[in-house]
Amino acid sequence: MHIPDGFASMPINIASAAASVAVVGYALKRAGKSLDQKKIPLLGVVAAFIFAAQMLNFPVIAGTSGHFVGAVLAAVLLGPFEAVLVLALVLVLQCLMFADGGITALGSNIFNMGVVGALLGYAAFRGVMVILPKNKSGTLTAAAIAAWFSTVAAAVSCAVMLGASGRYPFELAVPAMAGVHALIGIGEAAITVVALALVMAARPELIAARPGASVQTRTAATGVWGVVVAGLGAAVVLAVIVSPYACSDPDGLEKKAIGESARRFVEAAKAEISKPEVVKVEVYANPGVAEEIENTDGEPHRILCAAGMDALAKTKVKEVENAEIFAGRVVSTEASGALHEKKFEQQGAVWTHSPIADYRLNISDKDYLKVGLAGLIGTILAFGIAFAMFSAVRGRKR
Amino acid sequence: MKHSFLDKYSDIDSPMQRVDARVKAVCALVMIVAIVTTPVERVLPFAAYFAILATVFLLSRIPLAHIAARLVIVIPFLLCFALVTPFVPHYSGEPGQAIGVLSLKYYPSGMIVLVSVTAKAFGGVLCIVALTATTPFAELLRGLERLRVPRLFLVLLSFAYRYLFLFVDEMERMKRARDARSFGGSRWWHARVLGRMTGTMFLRSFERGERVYGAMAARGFDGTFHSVRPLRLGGADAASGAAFLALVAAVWFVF
Repeated sequence: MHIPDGFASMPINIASAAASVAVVGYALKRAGKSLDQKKIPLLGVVAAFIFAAQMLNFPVIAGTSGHFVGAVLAAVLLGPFEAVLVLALVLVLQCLMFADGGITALGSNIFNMGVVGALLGYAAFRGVMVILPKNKSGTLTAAAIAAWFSTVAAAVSCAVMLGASGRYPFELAVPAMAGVHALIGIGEAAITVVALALVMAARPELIAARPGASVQTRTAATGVWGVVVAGLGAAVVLAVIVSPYACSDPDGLEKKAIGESARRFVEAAKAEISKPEVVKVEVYANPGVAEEIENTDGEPHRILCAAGMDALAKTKVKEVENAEIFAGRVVSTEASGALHEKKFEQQGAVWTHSPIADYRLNISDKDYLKVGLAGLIGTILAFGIAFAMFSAVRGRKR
Repeated sequence: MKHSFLDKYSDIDSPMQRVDARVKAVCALVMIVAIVTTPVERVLPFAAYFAILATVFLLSRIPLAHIAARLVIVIPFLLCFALVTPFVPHYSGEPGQAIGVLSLKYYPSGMIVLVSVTAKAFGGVLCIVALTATTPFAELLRGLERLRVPRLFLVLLSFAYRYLFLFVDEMERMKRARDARSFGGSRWWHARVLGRMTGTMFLRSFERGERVYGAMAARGFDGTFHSVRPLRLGGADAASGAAFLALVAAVWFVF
C-alpha cells in the first residue's frame, strides 16, 4: 500500500500532503501542549515498535502475503491523534530507510494509513462501541471490526488516489484493492484482537483510559436499548435517503468522458435502434436526465428500454442536446431467436473498454422509491441478523 | 549513530558524504519533483536524470548491490500496475489492438504510462538512496531541523530511530524462537501467535518508553531539547548545491 514516487499525480500528492500536514501538525501541537512529557519518548519508542511489527508477514492467498499495519491497535492503545503521529513517523522512516513509499507520495501514504487508517479506524471503533456492550468482548469485537474496516478503507483510499491520478481505472483498482485487503484485513483484525487481549490482561489501565472502551466483564445494560434504536434509525435514514444517490452519480473522471462521447454515442445508438434485430437498447443514464433517441426509420420496432430510459419506450421524440449518456449495451435477437447481448461500441469513452466496464447500477427517478425501500429492508434484515447472532453469543457466554 | 541496515555507507569518505545534509536534502527533493513532473514522452531528460544519478553514485562509492536491493522494493507495486495498465486506454477514442486473450485490448498509451511510472518510481528510489546512504541519520535530522521541519517531529523521529533496531532485533529473536518450536498449524493459530508476539512487543515498547522517560527525567529533562553540534553551511557546500540545482533545472527546462 506504500505508493512510490510517480504513481499518483502531483495534484493528488499535493492535496493529500496538505491534508496530512494539517492533521499531523495538529497531532504534534496536541502532543507538544499536553503536560505529559512522558509521551515524547513513548511515542517515538512505540513508533519503533510499529515499524518492527510491520515486518510481520502473514500469508493471504496464493503466495501473496500481507503485513500488519497496526493503525487501530495504536489508536486504541494510545489515542487517535497519537496513532496518526506514530504512523507518520513509521512512514517517514520507511521512506528514508528502505525507500518504501516515495517522498512526493509521502503525504498520500500518511493520508491513507495514518489519517484514514488510524483516525477513521478509531472513529469506526468508537462508532461500533456505541452499540456493543461496554465490556471486554465488546471492546475486542469493536477493535476487530475497526481493524478490518481501517485496512479496507486505507486500501480503497489508495485505489481512489491512483484512479484519480488517471493511472488505473477506478472500476478495476477499487474492487481489486478492496478485495485483497478485505482478506488482509482479517489477518489485521485477528492480530489486533489477540494483541489487544494480551495488553488488556497485562496493563488494563491503558485500555480503560480510552473513552468508550472497557475491560469490565459485566455488562452495563442501561441505555443500550436507546442506543440500539438511535443507531438503527440512523442506518435506516442513510439507507433510504442516501443509497439512491450513492450508486448512479458518475464520478469526476467519468463525467469528463461523458461530454466528449455523448454525441457520438447518441448517433451510434440511433443507428443501432433502426436495425430490425435490435429489440432493446439499454442506456445507463443519470437519474433525472431524460434521454430520448429518435427512431429514424419509422418502423414500429419493439423497443424496450432499461430503467432510466422509460421516456424512450413511450415516446419517439427528438434528440436532446448534450445528452448525458455514459454507458450502453445493445440486446439483439440472434437467428435462433434467443436473446443475445452485444457490447455497445462506445467510441470516445475512456474506461468502457476495460474488462469489467458495465457493472454500474442503473436507476431512474422512479426507482428511487424502490431503492430506498430495498435499502430499508436490507438494513433492517442485516440489523436483525446481527442482533440475533450477537444475542445468541451473549446468551451462551452467561 | 549508525546501523548496519539503515545508513550503512554514510561513513565512507567521499565527496558526496562530505556535503552538508541540508544541501543534499534539498537537492534530492528538487530532483525527485523534477523527475516526477517530467512527461515521459521526452526520453532525453530521463536519460539525463539517470546519468546525473549514476555520477552521484560513482562519486559516493555506494556498492551497487545496496542500490539494487533498494530498487527491489517498488517491484511488487510495479507488477500489479504492469498487469493492468497496457490494457487500458489513457486517452479517449484510442483504438486498441485485440491480443486474443479474454477480449483484452492492448493500448499504446497505456504502455507509455507504464514506462513513465516505472522510470519515475525507480528515479525516486535512487534519489532517496543517494540521500540516505550518504548521510548519517542524525545529521539528516539536524539538516531537516534547519529546514524548518517541526522540532518535536524530528525529536520523535530520532527516538524512533534510536529504538528501531532494538525492536527489529527483538522481533527477529521472537521469530527465531517461534520457528524453532516448529511453527505451523492453522491460520487461526498463526494469527494467535502473531497477535501475542505483537502484544508482547507493544508492552515491551510501552514499558521501555516509560523507563526512557524516567531516565530522562532523572537527568533533568524539562521538555526542551538542545543540540551540541550546530551545522555549518560552508561556501563549497552552497556552491555545489546551487550547481546541482542549476543542472537539474536545466535538464527540466531545456530538454
